Amino acid sequence: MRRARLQAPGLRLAGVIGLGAALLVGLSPAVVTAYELFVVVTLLRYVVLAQAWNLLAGYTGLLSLGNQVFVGVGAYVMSLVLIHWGWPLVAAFLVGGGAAALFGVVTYLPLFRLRGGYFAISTLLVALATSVWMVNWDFVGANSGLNLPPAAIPSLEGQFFYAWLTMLGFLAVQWGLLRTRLGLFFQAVRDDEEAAQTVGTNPLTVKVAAVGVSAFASGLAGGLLAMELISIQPGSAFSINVMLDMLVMVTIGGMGTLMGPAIGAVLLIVMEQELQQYETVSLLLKAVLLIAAVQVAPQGLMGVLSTTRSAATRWRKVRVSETASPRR
Amino acid sequence: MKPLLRVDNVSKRFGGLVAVDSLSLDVEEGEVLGVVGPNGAGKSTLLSLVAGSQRPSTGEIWLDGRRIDGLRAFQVARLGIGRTFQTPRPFHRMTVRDNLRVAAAARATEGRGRRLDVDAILELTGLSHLADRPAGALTLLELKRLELARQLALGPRLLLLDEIGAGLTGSELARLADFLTEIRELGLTLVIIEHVLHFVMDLADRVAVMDMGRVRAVGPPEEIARDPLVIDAYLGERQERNSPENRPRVSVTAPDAGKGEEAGDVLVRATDLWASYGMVRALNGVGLEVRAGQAVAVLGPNGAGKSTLCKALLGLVPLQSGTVEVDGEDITRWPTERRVRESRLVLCPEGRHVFAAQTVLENLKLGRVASRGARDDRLDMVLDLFPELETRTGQLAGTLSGGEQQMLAIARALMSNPRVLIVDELSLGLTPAVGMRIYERLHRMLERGLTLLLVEQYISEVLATASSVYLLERGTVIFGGDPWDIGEEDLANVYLRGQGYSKKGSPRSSVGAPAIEGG
Repeated sequence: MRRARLQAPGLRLAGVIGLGAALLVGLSPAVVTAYELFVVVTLLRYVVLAQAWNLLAGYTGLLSLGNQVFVGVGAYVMSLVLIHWGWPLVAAFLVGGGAAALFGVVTYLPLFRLRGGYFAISTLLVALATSVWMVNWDFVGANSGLNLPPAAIPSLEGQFFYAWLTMLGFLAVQWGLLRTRLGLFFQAVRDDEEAAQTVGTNPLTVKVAAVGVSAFASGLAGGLLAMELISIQPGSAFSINVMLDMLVMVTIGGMGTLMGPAIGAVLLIVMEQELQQYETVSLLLKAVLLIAAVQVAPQGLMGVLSTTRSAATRWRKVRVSETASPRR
Repeated sequence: MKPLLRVDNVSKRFGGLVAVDSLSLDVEEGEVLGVVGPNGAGKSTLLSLVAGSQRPSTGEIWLDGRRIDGLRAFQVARLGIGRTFQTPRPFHRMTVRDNLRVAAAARATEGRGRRLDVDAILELTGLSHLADRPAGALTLLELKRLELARQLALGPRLLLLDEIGAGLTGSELARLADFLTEIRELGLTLVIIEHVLHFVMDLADRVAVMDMGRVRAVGPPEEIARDPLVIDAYLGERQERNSPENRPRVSVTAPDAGKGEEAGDVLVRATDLWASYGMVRALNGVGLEVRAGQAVAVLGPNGAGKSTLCKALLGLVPLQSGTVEVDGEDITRWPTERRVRESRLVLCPEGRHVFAAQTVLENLKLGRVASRGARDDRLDMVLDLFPELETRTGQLAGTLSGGEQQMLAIARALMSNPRVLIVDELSLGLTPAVGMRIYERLHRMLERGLTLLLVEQYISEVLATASSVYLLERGTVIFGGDPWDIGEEDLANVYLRGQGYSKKGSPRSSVGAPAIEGG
């Protein structure tokens, strides 16, 4: 069964896209209410964020705790381009992503010498320093932030399509990337950087590529956030809560899997919706879930799924061999 | 003929330590070169220098007319130098096939080695049926194959194998040797670094013997096995051991255990110890007896299980089965600190482990913390025993020489007033003269009634000190008894040729002698 899945990755992708198309229709503005649509847009943004972080932590082994900065940079740069240059939204949106990618590569480059926990801490410091800088930077409105030109903001339906395309596009890019040499190198560097070097992999370029892609997608998510908020401040765009959410979604869903983060995102959004009135409870529950996932299912829900599936396969095989071999 | 690899006058210093000392070595295209030598000889450092993981302090390294000593590891790999790690380092979350695909993707750009595709290599290495399994699920032997397979996928011209036989048992080693022979048919040049001489004997065209960062001898295996220099380095100075004037000294100190008149009662008794690290078996039913006031030596090559035995006695590694008794009391289930406090078993671990950032005096005082009953005059006694330390009590331990650190480690262990002192690899990395000096001090402690268990990889002064000897190989006691009964043949078999493996050497005949209880 596992082998069959491996042999037909295209089939799986087709399945995912089919499911996506069904959801697109099912959740489209024509069917759901405005509030539900708003939740769906948030969900899609979270999927992008979770997958972007997963690309770093899950596939490349870079435990970045500063990904919220890429969100903030994407949000701010898109807003600035709209305010000062008056570019079309699509262009501003993409420039935001590009700026986040550039920012990520430049700030993370000196950190790549550090390993494990030291890398994680230093990325967190980059994030904290940046948000302090933003609070004090008058050009970007310091503490009061920026207001997007109302004319440039798309309707909720428009945001839905932006979010949908971003999510689908990034999913496709990841899917493809993981099938190239680079995707192999990501995982090799994650599993053993020194051994990766002995087979000719340059860890530095691999890490730069991973951060570039991850920060680009996070920056786009930042753009989506800015569209939703209309008015952004350092506190909202660079919020560390976003980082915590990424961590929870990916850990619960399954690190280093393509669909795990998406499943984690759905769970998180459902939980937040159900517990809207009890914000503290929701936060506590997140922590409990995180600890439970690490303890009980370190591979996340995807890990649980694949274990039960292989157990089921084994069970079936045993049944087959039992019935096939004559009893004494 | 121009050599494929030329190491030209290369040195590597780590602080004050010279790991590789003005070393020059050529490797011809298509040959299999074995590099052997004791622990700390600089073999692995040499390999790291060639593979680009470390840069030489001075000297040059050339691959087929191209200088490579300034290149980084991945660049060296792309030029066609593959290396395996002593402990396999797979990409454990990736499948076996993907492990190979990584290497194939970054494949050597200028190598002339025969190119094989991933599936052909999987077939060759017997990993085809495991291709879609995650590498983390393989057994040790499979992982060793994967290490090789992954490097073959790189399409290298030169393959550096670091202790590829370590941790494998006899039949596994034989299979690995056959496999390496197949690999060489592909036209690859191999450099096999091994701790144990015998594994490379059948494979290598030439063997280089390293010691203290230098190549001490190079030549065909048969010649190397007979080289007095090599026998010396591996077996110590034999003539001294056999000289008659040494004999009385020992028998006075520790009378023949068999007669039992003057010997103390059995103080430490280990019975049928089994232990393993994951898939690697470390102890296979080892038994051992140490009598009070005796010095017992445990000898054996690297990986024989000596350090595991020490740790098992202290409760630092979990036992699968077996018992440890001290003074007739079963302490198998005691935690380590109770063994230290109550049974007064004290281990002076391999590699010294002094507290580098503390002074000599602080180190010694920390040693006393571990025992409740220790009195203040212990310090005087210890400093009296090691006058070298007395003048340096205020010096940071990290700035001491290797020999002084070893003395400090033993002195610190003595501070806790042990009944049984276990010293793991006392003379490791020390010059013979310094090792001898430390043995002389231990001798004095022995006369004062201390019981000693001395673990050594190389036969040095230990045989003159010990009143009984256990010879360990691959986790099994193959000889136990009086040091004078241990045959030259046994030692040579274990250290130089090994047994159960060698095709040339006769199977061990003289070791049929009463292998100690144990099993």
